[in-house]
Amino acid sequence: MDRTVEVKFLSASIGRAFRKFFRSGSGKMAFTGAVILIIFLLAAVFAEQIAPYDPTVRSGKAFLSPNSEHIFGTDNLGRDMFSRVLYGSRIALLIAFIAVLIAAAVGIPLGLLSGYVGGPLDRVLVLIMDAVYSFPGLILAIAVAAVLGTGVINIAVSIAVVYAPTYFRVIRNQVSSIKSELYVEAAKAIGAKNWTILLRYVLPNVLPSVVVVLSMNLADAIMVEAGLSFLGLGIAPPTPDWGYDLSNGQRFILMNDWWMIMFPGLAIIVLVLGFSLFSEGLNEYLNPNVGERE
Amino acid sequence: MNIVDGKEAVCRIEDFRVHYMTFDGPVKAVDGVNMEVYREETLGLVGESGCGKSTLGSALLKILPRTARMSGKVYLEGEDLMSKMEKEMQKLRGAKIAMIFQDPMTSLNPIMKVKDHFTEMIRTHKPEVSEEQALEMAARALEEVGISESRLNDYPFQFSGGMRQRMMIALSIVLRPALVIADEPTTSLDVIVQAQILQLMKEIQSHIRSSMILITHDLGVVAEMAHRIGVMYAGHLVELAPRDVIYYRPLHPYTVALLESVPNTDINDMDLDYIEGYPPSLLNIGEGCRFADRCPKVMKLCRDRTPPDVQIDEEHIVKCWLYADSFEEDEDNASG
Amino acid sequence: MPLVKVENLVKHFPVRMNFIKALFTRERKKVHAVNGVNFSIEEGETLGLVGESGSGKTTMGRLVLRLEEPTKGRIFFAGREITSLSAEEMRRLRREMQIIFQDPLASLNPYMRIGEAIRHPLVIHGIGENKRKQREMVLEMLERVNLRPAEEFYNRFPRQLSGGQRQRVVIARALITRPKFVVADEAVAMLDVSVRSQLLKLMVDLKREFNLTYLFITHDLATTKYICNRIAVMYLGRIVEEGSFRDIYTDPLHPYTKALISAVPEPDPKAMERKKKLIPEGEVPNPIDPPSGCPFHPRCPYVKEVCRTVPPELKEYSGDRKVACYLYD
Repeated sequence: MDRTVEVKFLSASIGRAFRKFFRSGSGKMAFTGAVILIIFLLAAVFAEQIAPYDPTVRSGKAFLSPNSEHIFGTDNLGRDMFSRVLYGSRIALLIAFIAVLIAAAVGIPLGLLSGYVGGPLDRVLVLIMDAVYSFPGLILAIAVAAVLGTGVINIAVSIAVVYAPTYFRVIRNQVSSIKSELYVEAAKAIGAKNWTILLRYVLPNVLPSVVVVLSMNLADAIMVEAGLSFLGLGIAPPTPDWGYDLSNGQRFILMNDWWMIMFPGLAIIVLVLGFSLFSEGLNEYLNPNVGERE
Repeated sequence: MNIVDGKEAVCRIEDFRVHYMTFDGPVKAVDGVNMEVYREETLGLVGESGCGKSTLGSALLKILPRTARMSGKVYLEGEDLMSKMEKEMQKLRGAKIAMIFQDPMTSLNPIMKVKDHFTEMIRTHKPEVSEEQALEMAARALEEVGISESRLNDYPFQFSGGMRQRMMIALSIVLRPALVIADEPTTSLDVIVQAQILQLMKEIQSHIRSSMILITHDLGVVAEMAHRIGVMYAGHLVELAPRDVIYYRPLHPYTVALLESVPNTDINDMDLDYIEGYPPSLLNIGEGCRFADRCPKVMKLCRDRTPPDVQIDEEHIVKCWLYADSFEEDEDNASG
Repeated sequence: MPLVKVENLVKHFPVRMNFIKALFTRERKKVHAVNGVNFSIEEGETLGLVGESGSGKTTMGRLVLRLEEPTKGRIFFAGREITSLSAEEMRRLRREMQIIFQDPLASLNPYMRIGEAIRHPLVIHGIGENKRKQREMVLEMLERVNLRPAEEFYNRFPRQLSGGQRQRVVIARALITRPKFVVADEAVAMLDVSVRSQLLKLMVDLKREFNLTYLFITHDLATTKYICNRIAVMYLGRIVEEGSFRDIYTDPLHPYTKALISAVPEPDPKAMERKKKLIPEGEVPNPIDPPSGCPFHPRCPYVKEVCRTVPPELKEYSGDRKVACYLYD
């Protein structure tokens, strides 16, 4: 059975585009992604130890271009950009993880239930989820965020609303095909209860795709979070946040202060790329026929 | 060159090997096969799954996946197939050497009508044939396999399993190839339809006078169809002989055991014999007889050196050390 | 009292239609998979159910275990009618009735280790005091089906095994709860000749050892000789003939059985030449639209007027032989 995960993640298309650069099946793609991710994770965890300055407090003159004391320069309030980018990875990853957790916690059980039970329940759930799924992601997130207001959890919830249907779709479609596999029928024949079948025979077989969706989802969540903050719907200043710093920096673009948008922007791009490579590599590893199917 | 012992060999295969390249090493699917196919004969190629019989069949048409490496010589009516480029092979396929697959649906384009399959096949090989002439040829070929001309306008999926296989046969013989390779042509069919198709294949073959390699796992099917039978095991051709010799005077221990383990319908024979163990993995497999681990007559020599093709008589070849006495003497004489 | 008995069993599957078609036709088409089947199996006996594709033999096997709900008819197991049991009662009864499917790889969860797959029925039915005891039972069973060293096989995954080994695992899983009745649905059909005979031998030995009753479903008449006491031949959802292997093989009564036997390729060229060929024209009709009367009448060389309208009943012919054909009235 084809277990390839095909969903509307931006990161999925990024990952696919990069597939050419890596020999298929070598695992180098996932490895490269993993290295990038580990660097960012370390940066987030040890931000206090690495950062030379407090990211929320003035540490020098405003608008300093990159120099030996402030390697990424300073912003309009004289805060160290390097420290802000470091601490920003904390917020980005935190929100992304929480959002993905919520989306998965909603989407996966519903998908399992819908696919396994089938019938009217399935039809209603599919209708609702498809309706949500068909909204453009960022616009939906903006609408939800506008209602909920700012704050880490609120942002995470607005992102989760966008991605819960993706989990639902992937899980539901796989479950409804796995349901007709012979080993599920064999489980019925040995007298297993429905719950047992769902948890021990169906779930393990959808988990590989869940892992792939999870890591693709993380990349997209980071982009949406940056988008929300950019539009002022994200974390309240002065907490360091890449999206906010981007929008802050673009106000001074005419002054040629390129470092204020370049470094947060670069951080977003590299982190998203890391997740994309990792998830696509993982997808290839778990579904070895992806690469051959050009 | 092509006349061997008074019989004309349409196809000659010499020391032929197909190795599939994998990350872990070569899978030696076909390893050192020598055989000839005579004109107008049916050569049955039997063996269990993974023995290399289908790989060998596809290799003759050079339609293997890219990971396959071929070596050795294959001559079809004197032409060396292994030195041919893909373009030249395309000209041969269908015209000189044709294939009948187990499931025709996988080799037929589902959105092309039956007549289009025929006209395309005919006109790629014979551009001088007009559309009408091609249709006429198609109608005649269909008639030969018992399908009415009116079905030329149907699509392949509108045919039942048996009819589809008939159509496949008609398509493969329309250009009167010298050699037809039938790879498990009746395996997915029910017994009664299988009997119909086998009957048809016999009639067609004697009618168009082509040679056929019939690849199957079913010892009943070759008993019915083949003039000579080659038995394959784990990439080796272990025995090659006329049909009755294989069934009534087999020599290779594998052939003997295989025939005993086939369930027969003789009500006086209620013993169920079987071969212990499983065929070996062909990945990185080395020297030695590949049946050695399951063989009741295994000797030390068998595990160390691959047995030679021993010529028992004019038409009987066995790849087994048990019969190699004279061969060894020859070798000793040669060295001494 | 027979261990398994089915009475007048019928199973129709609705045919899926596309939306537009469904709007304009009243008539709901259905596949007539099983069309009024009666048989019984005595304890310790093996009944072979032989038929071509479309005969309904596989559906029959699933119906007997209620893995599929019958459209009509009753099924008895050990004197108890199981067609009326609740889902929970049926679930508990499953430790006494098991099935072995044709495709061993597909019938094993790819993410479950062999040992765990075999242990699971014990967990489900609460057999064996604790995990350690259950593990011992599994290891013993692995030894019994010749998967040695058992300790090593316990921790392997299905994909690491060969086809024959996988089917041994499936057999072990089916027998671990010591069932009385086992349906073997083409259990050896996918395996290679040399391995097929190994498995057949194992099933015969296990039958004696565990005092099993088999319903042995197959398309291959030759394999029934070694394991079946009686054979029932199915054609388009009906049993057309019943008897011992010897009787059916040497003296088939029903014209369909005659055709079937004459079409079996023998691994023996001389026997092949001796054999009379009675190959009927055409193929098995579509079970969506089965012929009226006797299902075989459109292909039957002895067809009479009555065959076209009223289906013949399966009647006793002599001793334990039964046939559904007007030729023997």
